[in-house]
Amino acid sequence: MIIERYYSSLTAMIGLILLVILFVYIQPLILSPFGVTMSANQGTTLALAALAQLVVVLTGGVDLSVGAMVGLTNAIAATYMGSDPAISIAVLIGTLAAGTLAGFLNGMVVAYGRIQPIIVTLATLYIYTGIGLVIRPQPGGFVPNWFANALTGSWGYLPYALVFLLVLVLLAWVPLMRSRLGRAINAVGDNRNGARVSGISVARTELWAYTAGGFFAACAGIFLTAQTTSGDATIGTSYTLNSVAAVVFGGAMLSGGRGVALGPICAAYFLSLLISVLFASGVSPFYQNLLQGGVLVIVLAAANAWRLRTRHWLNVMSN
Amino acid sequence: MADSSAAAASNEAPALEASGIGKHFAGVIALDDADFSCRRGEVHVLLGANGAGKSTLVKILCGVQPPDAGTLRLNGETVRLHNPIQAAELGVAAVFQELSLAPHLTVAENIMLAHEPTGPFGQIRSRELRRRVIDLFEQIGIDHINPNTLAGRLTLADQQLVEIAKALSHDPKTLILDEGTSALGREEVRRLFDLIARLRERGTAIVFISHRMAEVREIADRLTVFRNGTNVGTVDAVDMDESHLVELMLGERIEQSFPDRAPMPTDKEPLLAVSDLNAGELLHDISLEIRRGEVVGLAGLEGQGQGDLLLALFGMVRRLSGEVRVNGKPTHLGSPWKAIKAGFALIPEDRKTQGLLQPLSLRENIVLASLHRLTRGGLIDRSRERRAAEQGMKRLEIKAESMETPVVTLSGGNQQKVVIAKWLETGGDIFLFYDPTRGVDVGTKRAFYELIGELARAGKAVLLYSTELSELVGLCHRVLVMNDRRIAEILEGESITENTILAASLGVGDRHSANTEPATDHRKAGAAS
Repeated sequence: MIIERYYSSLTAMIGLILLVILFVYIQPLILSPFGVTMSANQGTTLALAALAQLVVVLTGGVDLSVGAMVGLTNAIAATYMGSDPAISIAVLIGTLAAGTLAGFLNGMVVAYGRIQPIIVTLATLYIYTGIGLVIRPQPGGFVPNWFANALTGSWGYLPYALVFLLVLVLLAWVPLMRSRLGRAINAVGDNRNGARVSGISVARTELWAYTAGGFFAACAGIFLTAQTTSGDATIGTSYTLNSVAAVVFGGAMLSGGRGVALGPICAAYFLSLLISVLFASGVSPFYQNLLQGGVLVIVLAAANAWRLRTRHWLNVMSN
Repeated sequence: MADSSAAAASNEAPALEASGIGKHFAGVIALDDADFSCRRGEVHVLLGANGAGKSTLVKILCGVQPPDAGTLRLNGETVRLHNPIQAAELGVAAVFQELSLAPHLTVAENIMLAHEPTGPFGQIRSRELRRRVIDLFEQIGIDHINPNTLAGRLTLADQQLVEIAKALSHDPKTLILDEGTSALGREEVRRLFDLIARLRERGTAIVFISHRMAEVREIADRLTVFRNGTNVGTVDAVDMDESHLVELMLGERIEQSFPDRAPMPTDKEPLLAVSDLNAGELLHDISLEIRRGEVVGLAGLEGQGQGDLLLALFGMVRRLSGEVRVNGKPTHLGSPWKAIKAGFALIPEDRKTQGLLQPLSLRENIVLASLHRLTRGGLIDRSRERRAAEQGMKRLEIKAESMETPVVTLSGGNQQKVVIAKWLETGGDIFLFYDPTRGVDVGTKRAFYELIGELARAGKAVLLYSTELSELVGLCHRVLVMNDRRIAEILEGESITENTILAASLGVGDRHSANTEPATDHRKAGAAS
């Protein structure tokens, strides 16, 4: 493990820790099993969406359809799960497959259609939201209790949500990043032509990166289903830009090639917790957006201040 | 050097043989019925002006691009190469002119990229990977690079070494080095050549591309010259005649390697006077003066602060101490903008990323740094802009279809002229050149030398950092030799020779004892031909 890679996550980690301390100071009650679980549940969807975004950003692309894929998979799951456990599980697998397929289609168009990712995923944002609305025109649906509890409950202070996230990271993210594909994803974003002349197929790498993004977005959609116990095709909207914010705050470079999961995950919990903290401190909802944006700008500026210490302007710009 | 082993090898099929190769890009013919072969145990140098088709040939030989026509044989067997990894498996590996490293991957990860050792679940076996890289480094004698460092943290020279190690990690039967030494200092080139000698003994076929004739002379067994996308001659190194080769490359005779030196400046007062410039660990106690019309060279081994000095003068280095006077006026160099206003112009190290906006037109590039003078009411005055661009093109004789041609389509030499035109347009007086002829062919170099002379004659002050000693000897009135980020020695007039510069760079007291390379006076060699 190259420790240096994790330096970029420090800002988000420290930010999250400070925010938790502030939250406990304002509202000591959150240090209860209920408070911890509730906070964890609130952030996990965004954390998963951030992973979906990160795998694409690592290649130097961006996926504007992350939120739409979250909404689409949420609509599918809540509409078809029903109460029979066997059918529910089949539907969950189908939901994962649907999200993965959506990512695969993004990847096909980006990699082989050679169209800018931002345009491709903007188009598929509408397509996936549209399909979601066909499946579920109005919010609602049915989500079995056992399923909701399985993802959103807790053992004392340990929320199942964090376990779910950890399992996904260990069983999906880490193996992906330890594979040749993961290495190729980093290399393509870091130096596209270099990767090409090293024998990496850039198109195939992009295809699978977007596909993996679809998979993680589907995981986010499934978790969201358990959390809200209903389906809504348009619920994902906020996750798109917030996932980009989490990825950047988490230390990844939008130009690709740099970023680890730790930072964006911490940043995702930071962003979702920030809303709770503002709420708990009695800030009027009218000022919440303003403060949320302001805090983000200040935190990011502070995190990057050290770069100004370098003597070369060239370094400032290339970092 | 075309000894018996090469003669014996000629009986068997060449390690690599390309015949009738054709390749064109969007109507431009890059290669036309090109033949090339390299035997086992031979160093075959490929020469040619920029745009002669060398790099395209390399890309075809190692599977990066497919040829439009022609056949490729490896050890006598016809092959079709689809990608670089397949080529590497068949024994062909290349070090590319443009570095292929991923800056945020480690050295080890870069070297093994796309052929990592994997376990049963497709996971990369990191420890095994690192072990292989350490073994490789040991084999080829790299002991100062930590395999776990991020590649982007290395110096350009070390990156190039890593690039070479990356090619060798495939244990190639044919190794292609496209400008593999352009960023290396003398010591490193020395080591690379030792390595090449060892590989040659093992029977590796080596294709070597370089613009440094001294290197070519030292290492070649055979030489092939390319011009306009085709092979115009192959000779054994023993029969090598430099002026003949240059002639082949250019297709015409060049009388002299260097133009006449600009006349000694007559001004007494310096245009630029720097005293006690310090910048933390980057620069120590730099004092220098340059007069109008003077060409001052900046020499030294790789990484002794030459580049940082230029960047500092151009406002790219922060928190400087010391005094800088331009025309006698104290000047604060806080940013490139301030430096430009003070009359500085930087012809940067990397033309592609720092010198030009590649996809934009000639016009846009030429006026880029002078827009503040070409606006009317906050908008760019199109007619003034066009006039400025026209003037720049005429003054530097830039060959292009029109001023709307994107600079990316121009040749390297013409691109370099665009950079200079940009600075002439700002009214720049002090021209800082950052190793401007690195990886540039002979003809373009020549044009460049003339340009520097013209700038001097026009009353500009020139500070030229170059890694090519012959250039400093041929062009400069004075040469400042840097060592350990301070100015170690100042050479003037007749005392500027390759030997004295090298001796001063190495910190050797006796100037005449430096015989690392036979002294070559390029003027004399040129005049004799």
